[in-house]
This record gives sequence, structure tokens and C-alpha cells, in this order.
Amino acid sequence: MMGVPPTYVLFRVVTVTVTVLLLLAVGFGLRGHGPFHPLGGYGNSALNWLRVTTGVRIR
Amino acid sequence: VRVGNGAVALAGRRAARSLAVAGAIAIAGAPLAASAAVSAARSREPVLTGISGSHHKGYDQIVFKFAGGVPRHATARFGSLDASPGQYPTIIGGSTAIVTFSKATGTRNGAVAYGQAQQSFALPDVIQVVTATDAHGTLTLGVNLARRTQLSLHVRAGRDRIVLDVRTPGRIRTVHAAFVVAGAATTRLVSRPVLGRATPWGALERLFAGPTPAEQAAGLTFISSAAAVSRVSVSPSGVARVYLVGGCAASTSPVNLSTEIVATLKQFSSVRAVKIYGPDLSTEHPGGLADSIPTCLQPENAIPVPVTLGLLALAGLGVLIGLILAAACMAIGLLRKPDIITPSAYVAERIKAHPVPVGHFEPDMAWPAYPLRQLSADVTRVWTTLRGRWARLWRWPGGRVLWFVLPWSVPAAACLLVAGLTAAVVVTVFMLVTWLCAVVVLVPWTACVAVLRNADGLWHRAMRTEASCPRCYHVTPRPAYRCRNCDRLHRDIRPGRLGAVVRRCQCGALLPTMVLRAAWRLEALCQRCGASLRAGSAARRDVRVPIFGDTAAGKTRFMYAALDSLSAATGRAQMPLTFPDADSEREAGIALALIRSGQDTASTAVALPTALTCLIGRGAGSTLLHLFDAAGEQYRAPSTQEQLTFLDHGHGLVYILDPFSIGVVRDRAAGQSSAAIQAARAAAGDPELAYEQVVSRLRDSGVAADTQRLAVVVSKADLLALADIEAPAESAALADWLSEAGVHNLVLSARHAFAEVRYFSVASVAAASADASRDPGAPLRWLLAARGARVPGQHDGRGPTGNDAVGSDHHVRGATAEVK
Repeated sequence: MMGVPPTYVLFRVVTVTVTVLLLLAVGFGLRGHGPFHPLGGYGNSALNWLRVTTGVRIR
Repeated sequence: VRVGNGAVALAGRRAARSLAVAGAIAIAGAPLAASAAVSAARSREPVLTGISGSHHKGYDQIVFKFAGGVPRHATARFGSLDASPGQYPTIIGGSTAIVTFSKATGTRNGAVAYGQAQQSFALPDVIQVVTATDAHGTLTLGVNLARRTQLSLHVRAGRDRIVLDVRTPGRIRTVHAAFVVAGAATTRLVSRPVLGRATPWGALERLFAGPTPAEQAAGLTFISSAAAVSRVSVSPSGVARVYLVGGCAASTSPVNLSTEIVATLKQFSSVRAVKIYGPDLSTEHPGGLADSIPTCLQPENAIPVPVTLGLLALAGLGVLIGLILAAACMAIGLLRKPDIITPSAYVAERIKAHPVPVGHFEPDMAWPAYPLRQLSADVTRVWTTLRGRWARLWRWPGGRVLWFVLPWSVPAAACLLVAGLTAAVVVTVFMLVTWLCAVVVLVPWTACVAVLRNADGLWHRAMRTEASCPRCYHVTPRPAYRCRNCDRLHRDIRPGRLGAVVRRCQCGALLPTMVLRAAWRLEALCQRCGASLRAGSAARRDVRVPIFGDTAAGKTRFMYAALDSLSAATGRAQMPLTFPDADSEREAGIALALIRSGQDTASTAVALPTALTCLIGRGAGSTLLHLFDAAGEQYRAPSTQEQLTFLDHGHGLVYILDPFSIGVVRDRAAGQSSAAIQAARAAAGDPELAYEQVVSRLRDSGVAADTQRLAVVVSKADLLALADIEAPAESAALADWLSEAGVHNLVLSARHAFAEVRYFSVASVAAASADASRDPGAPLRWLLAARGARVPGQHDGRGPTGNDAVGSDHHVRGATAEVK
């Protein structure tokens, strides 16, 4: 069985980790936290729109 | 002219009712009185045709423009309009200046003649002007002010305008109000100047005043929901509470009063959440940090909550499935079933893209750098896995027919669409991150490759390094290297696609990438025949010296005698002279023993010679000296001569000339000493013939001999001395001596054919018994010096760092070069 170079594994781990962290940061940012907290305005707007349009309150 | 007194009296009566009066009155003066005098008839009352506002330094100015003269009386006082909440959207607090025009009207033909009955202004103190009453010849307007200040009413010189000035003391700041964009479910912030601090209350005052006529023309509108604000508070935790009074009418629009209030208040950094209370003091979610609106502001025709909750649950489930799907696809595509681009697959791709020309080698079998190939394979595999898995979701349950039959097919399809979209977004983010990481890695990686390759090239040029095959005589700047683990050949070890600093062989072994580093760690092999090269080949200075001449001219004996001389000289200078391979060490050991014991060396076998290689010096600055000694018979036949390709790559040639093969010399020696003749075993052929054959071969092969050095070595000088013949030691004299002896053709030809020619008379004997003037090592030192190799002389005690690289006293004495 031919072994995959460790650099391949390292690169994959790094890219997947960065992707997960980025998605989490965006998620937290939409709630107004973390490095992307300016996105909180968009999150609030979306929730407001949802609330105003449907009367459903998410949080 | 007495307008002011009447106004004061009016203010006093109003105060008795409930309202404070603090207005100041400015009297219009004579023009106003004159106008009143001439406006007697009711049908000719002045008509208010326009209201405009502007801010000047220290005051706001409202201009009332009349047609048909100006009113007889005009008063301005502070007061309050008797209005119910919501009737005048602007009036939620502050102060109101009541401006009354007697004997005037604001209507013409039953319509308001001065524009809108309620007009807002973007001024620091004046917020809005509204029409209170217009009946019985009296026109009353309410001027809503943010703060009660000093008023001044007067007639402007043009006699058709009455001007109300409102003082604006203190600093002016800016707040924003969010109005609905007509036709779009969004709001837009507009700026308003305010007196003093910018507060939520001040912002709401401007919001409820509505947009200015210009802003209305630009498409902004204010949805009041028939409400007004009675109170606003902001808690330390950032919760702004707004209390509505009056009406509270919902609308079908997705944006309404609550949207405007929330957007207006959230401009303040101190406000984190807005809770709006209805007239019944209720709000949806009184606690927490979430925005909240009263039930009365809920859209009337919104989607029913159960339906919305169902859709949200569906969307949430779709997002969850999408996230799981994306994670699963990445795990499968990167971990469980990755598309691994093996070295063999990569080589096949490269060959398919760029077919290997005849005579070239296929790319090496090593793992390519991840960003250059495997990265795109990983991204592609994740995408294809996602497509396949998502398509499989649509086949569940029970095939496609059920999708059109089952009642839950529509929501299931919507859920799967959301799932696919979510997974696609996640995988797209992964792809972008991957490419970004690749760029981040490739920039320094490429720089590293360029630096290392240049370092290799610079070392090659500076040190004149090459790799010479001792068997097939192939010369290359980069030999092949054998993997220590699997014996696979790596023919281009330079930094590149397969690695910058190290490369990973297909077997997994790590190999250095530079020739400079591989030369000391890996076995170097000839690119052409695969024979092992000397250790350090292509990283050490490489000097190749073919030795040619007629049969029995003394080539082999000269070679070993020269080696003995170099060995003795380097030994005295503490410079090592070793043999890097076993064959050279064994053959040199035998031959040097014979030389040192005064015995004859064995005749050279009639076969293609293997280079005798010695290593002079130590470390990276050392020199590999390759000596090629072919049997004289090899030079005679054209067929065998073709195979002597070491002649083509020689840095300098040594031609061994047996003086006893020259007729004149032989005859003279025979007369002097028959013993010398017998010991000499003179070469039988013409001495010029062997030389001409080699030169012709070089010329026919296209070798630039005029860039090479030629050392013409007159051998057997010790035997000449035995016969009382003294060959000159000095080069030019020796050339003359040879010309006089009948080999003038050789002397003349060599002068024109080579870059530099030097003549040496040597005694091929052991260094211990050699005469310094007949040092057999001198020709090699001369040729080595031309390649930058520093070798001490026979009697040079200064060691290898001496300035005279060739350095021997023999050279100093003997040496006037024949330069073409």
C-alpha cells in the first residue's frame, strides 16, 4: 500500500479546519459575535424581516 | 400696527386654559398695517401660497409667502394644538409655536394653496409645520419645535412674506431617521440636524415628523400606523423601550412603523435591542435582548404562524441535512475514498500532456507538491461525491414515482433542495479556502524553488562541477540518483514540481532535491549507461584528462608516475589525494607499487578504458581528476577510435611522445648506448601519426579543440640521459628540439589546433627518485590549474594554498607556453 505523503494529510486537515472555523465565524458573526460581528446587522435584518413578515420570532 | 398687543392678549387667554405661553412677538410694522388697512373685503383676503424653511447661523427661519397682500394681524406664541394623538404625527413632544394670521386664508378653490397641510423640515429646531385651523378668516398653523427658544415674527421687505425666526442656540449635531422606501420593503436613513445632544428621543421626533417634501419626491415615506410616541427609555443593558399612544394599525407591508423605529434607534451604539409597546402597554417579548413589537403591529395578512413554523422547520432540516451531507462528502472525498494522484498517474498525465521527445527521459516517479496536482483532485472528488450523494437522496424512498404520489413529496423536495444548496455553499467555501491556502503556500514555495535552483546553477558555474561517467564517458551537470529505499532512479533532482527542498519518492522515501545536497547523500548514476559515478560527482570540480599516444609510448607509466608525483606533493602539503572508488584504488595501488619499486607497468588492455579517478583535496572544494588511458592500438583503427568519446569531453589532453620513436633520436641513442635502446622498447609507429589521428577525430567530431590545452610529454627522459641525450626541460626549447628532430609537423599543427600547448620532458619514475626538472606530475598540475584546481608542486612546501597553483619549480623553470 502506497503511503500518502504527510504533507497531503496536513494540507487537507488545514483546509478543512479553516473551512469549519470560517463557517463558525460567519455563523457567530450573524449573531453579532466574533471577528465577523458586523454581520450581526444582516442577521438582525433577516430576523426582523422574518418576524415582520411572518410573525415568527427566532430569538 | 398693533398686531403684537393683540397677540399677547391671545396668548394669555390660551394660558388660562391649560397651556403655557412664552412666545415673543415681533411686529410687522408699517407695511403690515398699511396692508391691513387696504384689505377690507373678505373676498380679497391674502392667501398663504407657500411655506419654506432654512437654517441660518443662530436661527431657523420659516417664510410664509402670501398672495394678495399680507394678513392684517399675525401673532406667534408658544402653545399647544388641541389635537388627539396621531392626528398630527409630528407632535409627540417638544414645544409648539402657534402662528395665527387674521384676515387670511390658506385655501384657494377649496384646496390647500401652500402645498401640504403638514410639512417637515430638516432644521435643528423647527421640525414640522402643520395646519391647525383655517376658518372664519383666521389661519392657524402649528410650528413644532424641538426646543422652546425665542421667536421673532416680521414682514420681509418684499411685502408678500411674513418670516418667523426661531433661535437655535448651542451646538448642532446630527441624527438619522429611517423612512420606508416606497415600493421596496426596505428603509433608508436620512440625516437631521438637532440642537444639543443626539438622543433617541430627538431621532424619533424627526422620524415621526416624516420626510421633507424633497425626500418624499425621492420616494421616501413614513408609515405612522396612526401612532405617536409618548415615552422612550434606554436601559443600561442597551434595551430601548418605546411606548406608543394613539392608534396602532398594522399593515400588510413587511415594513411598518416598528421597522422604522427599530432602524432609527439602532443607529445609536448604546441600543442593542428595541422593544415597542402598544397603547395597551403590551409587547411580544418584554424580556431579553431581542427586538419586540406589539401585537397590534403584526402584519395582518402575514403567512400563518403554523405554516411559517412548518416552512422554517423544513428549511432547518434541509440546512442540517446539507451540513451533514457536506461533511460526509468531505470525509469521503478526502479520507475514505480520496482520488490519490500517485506518482505513476502523475507521470502518465505529464507524458500525455507533454509527450517525451526521443532521447529524453520520462518524468521522475515522485509525489508532486500538493497544491500543484492533488489539490484539484481533492476538490473535484468532493464535488463529485456531493453530486452523487445528493442525487441518491432523490431516489429515496421507493423510486421516482412516489415523488409524484406521496403527499409529502413537495415538502421533501423543498427540503432536499435546501440541503443541496447548503451543501453546495459549504463545499464552495471549502474550495475557496483550499485555493486560498494553495496561493499562500505557493508564493513562498515558488520563491524557494527559484532560489535553490539558482544556487545549484551558481555552484555549478563557479566550481565547474560536472558528473563524468568513468565507463561510457557521458558528461552531465546533473546525474541520476538512486533512491536509497527502492532503487528507483531520479533523473532530475532539481527543486521543482516534485518538491522544493525534499521530494518524496514513490516508495515514500524522502530525497534531497538539489544536486549539491544529493551528491553527498545519494548514489549518483550515469544518465546514459546507469553506471555508478564517483562520490560527490556534480558537486565537486571535475577535470577530465585523456592521455593518448602510440603503442608503448609510455602512457600508462606516465599516468601512474604523475599520480605518484601528485600524491607525494599533496602529502607534503597535508592535502589528501585519495581514490573515490575501489577499482581506481586497486589499480592505482598495484601500479604505484610497481613504479615505486622501479618495475615496469603492465601493458594496457586493448579495451575501452575505465577512467582512473582520484580525489584531490577535501570537502566541497575538492577536485575529481579523471585520467583516461586507452591502449595505443585503440587510436589506430577508425572503428575503435569512434568509441573514444572521452577525447571529446577532455578539459586538456596529454600526448605522450616516445623520443625513441623519432628516427634521429633513436639512431643517435643507438650509437651511444644499446642498453638504453633496449630499455626504451621504443614505439614502433610514427609519433606524428597517433597525434594526427586524434586531432582528426576531434575535428571530425566537431569538438572545439581550440579551447583545449595540450600537454606534449616527451617521455623516457631518464633513458635519454642514459644515452647521453639531453632533451631541454624548458617548453619552447623542447619544441625546437623536437622540430629539429623531425617532428616539426606535430609542433606546427599543435600550435594551430589547440588553445595552448606546452612541452614537458619527463622521467616516468617514482617521485622519490625523480629529478625535479623531469617531474611527471608537472603536465597534470598545469592542466589542473587551468580548471581552477590548486595542487602543490613537487618541491613546493607551501601547501595547497600557495599562489602558484601549478607551483612546481619545474613549472617555473620550464615554462614558456606555446600560445597560439
